[in-house]
Amino acid sequence: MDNIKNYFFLLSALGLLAVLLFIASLMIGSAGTGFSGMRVMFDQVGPEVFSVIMKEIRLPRAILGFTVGASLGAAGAALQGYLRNPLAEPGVIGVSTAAALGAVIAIYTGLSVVMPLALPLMAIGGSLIVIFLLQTIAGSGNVATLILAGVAISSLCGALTSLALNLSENPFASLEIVFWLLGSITDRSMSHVWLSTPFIVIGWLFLAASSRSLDVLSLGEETAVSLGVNLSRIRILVISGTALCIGACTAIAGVIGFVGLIVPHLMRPLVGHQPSRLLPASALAGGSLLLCADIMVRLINFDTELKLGVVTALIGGPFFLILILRLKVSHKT
Amino acid sequence: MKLEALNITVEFQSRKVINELSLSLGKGELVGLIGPNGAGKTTLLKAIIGAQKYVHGELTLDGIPLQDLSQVERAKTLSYLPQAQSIEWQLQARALVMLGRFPYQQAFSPPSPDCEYAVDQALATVNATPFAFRSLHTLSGGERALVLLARTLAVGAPLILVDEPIAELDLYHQINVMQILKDKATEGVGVLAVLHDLTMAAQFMDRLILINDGSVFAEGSPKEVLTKKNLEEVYKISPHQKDLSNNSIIFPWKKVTKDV
Amino acid sequence: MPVNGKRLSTFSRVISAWCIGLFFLGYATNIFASEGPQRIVSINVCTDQLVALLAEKDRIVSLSHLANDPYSSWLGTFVDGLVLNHGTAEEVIALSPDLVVTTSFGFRPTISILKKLGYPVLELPIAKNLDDVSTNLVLLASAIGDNEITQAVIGQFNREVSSQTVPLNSQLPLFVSYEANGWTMGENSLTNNVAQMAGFETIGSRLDFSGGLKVDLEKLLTIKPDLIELGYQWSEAPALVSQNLWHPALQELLKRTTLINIPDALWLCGSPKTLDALHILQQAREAL
Repeated sequence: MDNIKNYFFLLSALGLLAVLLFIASLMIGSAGTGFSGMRVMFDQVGPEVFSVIMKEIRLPRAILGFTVGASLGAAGAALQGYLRNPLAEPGVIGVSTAAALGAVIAIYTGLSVVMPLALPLMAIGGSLIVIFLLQTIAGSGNVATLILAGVAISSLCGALTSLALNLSENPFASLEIVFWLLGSITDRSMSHVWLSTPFIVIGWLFLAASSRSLDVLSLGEETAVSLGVNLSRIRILVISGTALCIGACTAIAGVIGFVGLIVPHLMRPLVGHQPSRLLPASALAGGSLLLCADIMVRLINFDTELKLGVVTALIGGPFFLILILRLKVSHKT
Repeated sequence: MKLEALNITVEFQSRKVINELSLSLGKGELVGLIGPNGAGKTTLLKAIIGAQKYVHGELTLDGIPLQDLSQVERAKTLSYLPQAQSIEWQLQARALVMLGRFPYQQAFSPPSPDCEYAVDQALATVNATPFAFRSLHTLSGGERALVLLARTLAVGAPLILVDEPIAELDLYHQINVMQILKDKATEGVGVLAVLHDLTMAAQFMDRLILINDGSVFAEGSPKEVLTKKNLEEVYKISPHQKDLSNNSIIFPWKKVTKDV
Repeated sequence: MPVNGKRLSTFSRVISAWCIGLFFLGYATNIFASEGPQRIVSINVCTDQLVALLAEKDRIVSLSHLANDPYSSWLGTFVDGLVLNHGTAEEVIALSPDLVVTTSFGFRPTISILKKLGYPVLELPIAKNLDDVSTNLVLLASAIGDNEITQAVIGQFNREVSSQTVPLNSQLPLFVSYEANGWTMGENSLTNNVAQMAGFETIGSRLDFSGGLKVDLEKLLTIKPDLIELGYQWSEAPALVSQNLWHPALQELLKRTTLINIPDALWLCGSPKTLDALHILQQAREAL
């Protein structure tokens, strides 16, 4: 009983943190930061432009910071629970890179100009294909098989993305490789929010629907079946939920790595390692982490803005290595 | 409640792993499933719980075909403990036992008082209450086995299938687990246990089913099944056997030589 | 590439006439034999344009592959019949040039190999203003051999530059060239210097930076440019660049500022054609 109380306290605290960071995100930008900075900006540009900056630049940025981060956190937690593998992360195993490839094809062939929905749909398609592939190759294998298969798929998709951009006649396309492989939510608009949010929310619902079964799945597939878990239903929920989340996010923000790895790992001890409880906690914490990273990106230097994926990789890379090291130690003992 | 398997055949790549095998498990029965590695014991258990497809045969519960039951009904009736289970996450012992109540729980709602009660009972049955709130990875192998057994009991199913429940345990815990299973049978639960320790099987089981190459080789009371001839033929060993009043102790002694 | 037809300066017309006339003369009488290098190769899109202006076509062996890219170069059909190179040492050597022309930016490995092998290489600095263009023309002319053509081109250009008057005003309007993905050029760049000549305050002096800088939309909105240029939109080869231009905040800005179109080829590289960009800006300044 006490357990549940602690859990709800954790969720409330994380929720509050996300709200605070969301507000902070709205108050930071190159045109004016903080109360005084925003007042100066208001006086300088007038009410009309001020509201454009707030509504069309900062609001979508803050919303996407949360939804993208939450999706990455939740998808990471769900994949790890489903594959029973603590290193399964959408970026590490190539799901995000595949989504980026789908998005790149949609944009640079001009498909997304004719049909804007093609952008998230192609990205979702990309991640779907890769998750299915990974499940076939390494679904029942060990930790290493999955990661190795993921690395191979990830580099392949990254190379194909670069190829597609290099082949474009547009000289700026090759510069945009940076965006796709490192991710950013700078100067996104509300139309990006509308384009991605429906898919993201459906993805969240799918993942939420799978959460209780993920708990049972920690007993192994056969025991889960003996307890009445429908394995194919879970597979569909987790795979399509992850693909929807990651695809829609990547189509809008590029590949942002490691959030799905760091966040579930930090949250796991706080929720008693229970996959079902890990999902909402990782979603809230992931949203907060990305909002925080995006605030850092803006605060560190306004002149040459860091890419969001660089910040998450700077934190996540060493984290990943430590995690592998610890897994190695625990497998020896 | 009676489980019946009739002429079950399971194929792996057109090789018959289980061949026309029939068995039954009734209320309050304690049945041992024995046989050498690869005989098909685990496969049979998986087929019964629905985790393994069988090419033909029939599984019934009180005469009703198992596939006519919903997954949840089936889960409430048959509880399963796999062998050498590895749990990836460091769950709390009690949370793990609570997973046994999955068939009774509603989505997105906290466990009902009934579930809480059943979990506490299961933990008490295996004497795991003292470490119920500890994390799984801090427990010893024996304690861990008890928690996993409690998870199986928490289902509250009338029939329990356990796969090598004592394989990795020390002597105290082996007897402890066997006694718990026997107590359960006394309460009216039907227990089907895959065992490798023939002495334990002889001591605790009401009935033994010896399978070899996917078919029943011998079935009956321990005394009827554990004969020197059966052991030599199926296990390819010559045992030292010491008969007690209503039981026997079996020492595996040496491999069968060709001339036997 | 929409070339601004009305803005073709008298200068260009003179040059075209010169070139056509001289070719016919040269071929017809076969007395046309200039001094200096006879196998000129340019490996940079900026030097392509200067070489094409100053050297007779039969002395040019090869230009860079961007020479006929309408986005970066105004040479167009001039390149017909010429080898287009990608600036690799092997390609250049195969052409056995007696002069290789490039800028001091990029192709470093190629240049060092060519120099080591004894090929004459002329490196022209990147033009950051119209005076640099004049200097580059003179440098190139002396490398390929000064003659009537080079003297005519350089003379014409210098006359046009010196005839410009910079409008002085205490309150100069702000001009921003907002390129793909928020890139802008600051002080000490060709675009900023040309804009200053046309009587504009530049983003480089407003935000006090030189070189390239990424300016995000909210910053752009706060500095309120009076005249904005958005670069070529690439609708036939879409990229994020083109998508970002549909950002509602940018659309909002366009409601309160004047948009002009200056073909990038005119001032991506400094050449006599850059004067056309200057004229477009001057006209826009008057219209403000």
